[in-house]
Amino acid sequence: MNEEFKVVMADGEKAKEILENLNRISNVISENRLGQIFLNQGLKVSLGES
Amino acid sequence: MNEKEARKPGIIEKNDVRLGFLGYCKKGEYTATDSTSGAALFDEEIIKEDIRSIKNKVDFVVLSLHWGIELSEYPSPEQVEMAHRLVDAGAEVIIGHHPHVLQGIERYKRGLIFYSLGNFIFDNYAGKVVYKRMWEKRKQGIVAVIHLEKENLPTYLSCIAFLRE
Repeated sequence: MNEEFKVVMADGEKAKEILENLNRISNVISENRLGQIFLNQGLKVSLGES
Repeated sequence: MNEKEARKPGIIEKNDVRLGFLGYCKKGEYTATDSTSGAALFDEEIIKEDIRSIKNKVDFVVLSLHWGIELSEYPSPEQVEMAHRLVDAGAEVIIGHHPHVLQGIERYKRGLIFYSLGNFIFDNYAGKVVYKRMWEKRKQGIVAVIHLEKENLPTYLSCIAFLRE
């Protein structure tokens, strides 16, 4: 069986949620930058059984 | 690539900046031996020795470390202490992986430490079949775009990624 997933760049509430968690556990602040570039490229990943 | 070859650095020169890359993995089926191929052995003294051997040949030393506790959102105190010692030994960037979830990012002196970048592209589906712990967190990862310029501290931008089912 093959399952197809898509790796996407987070934006909006999803990015905010992940960033807040990351910044909570870091001593430097991250910003969600450059994501649009990857989003436009539509990273797509196919995963098979392992 | 045997053990000796696995410890050789990858050196890249770009825009008059020389980067030295070294990578290590905890002992197991993926590590090289005298006669079998694999990654260099994750051992603090070995890593420090390798850093020293290239420190004067490059502007930045970047370490890739397969380390940490799976599904833990925090590095262990021992890891943090070791990361600091590796920066003190000459590493400027440490990129950690293995925990399958994001861990913190730390600025320590001249070093930038990514304890774990999360899963990004990984066969989460297989993992889900085996166990479901931290499933939502395991869909998350970051792409760290690191800026390295001579005489300056490494800086970075994050691209937040997640796996959409």
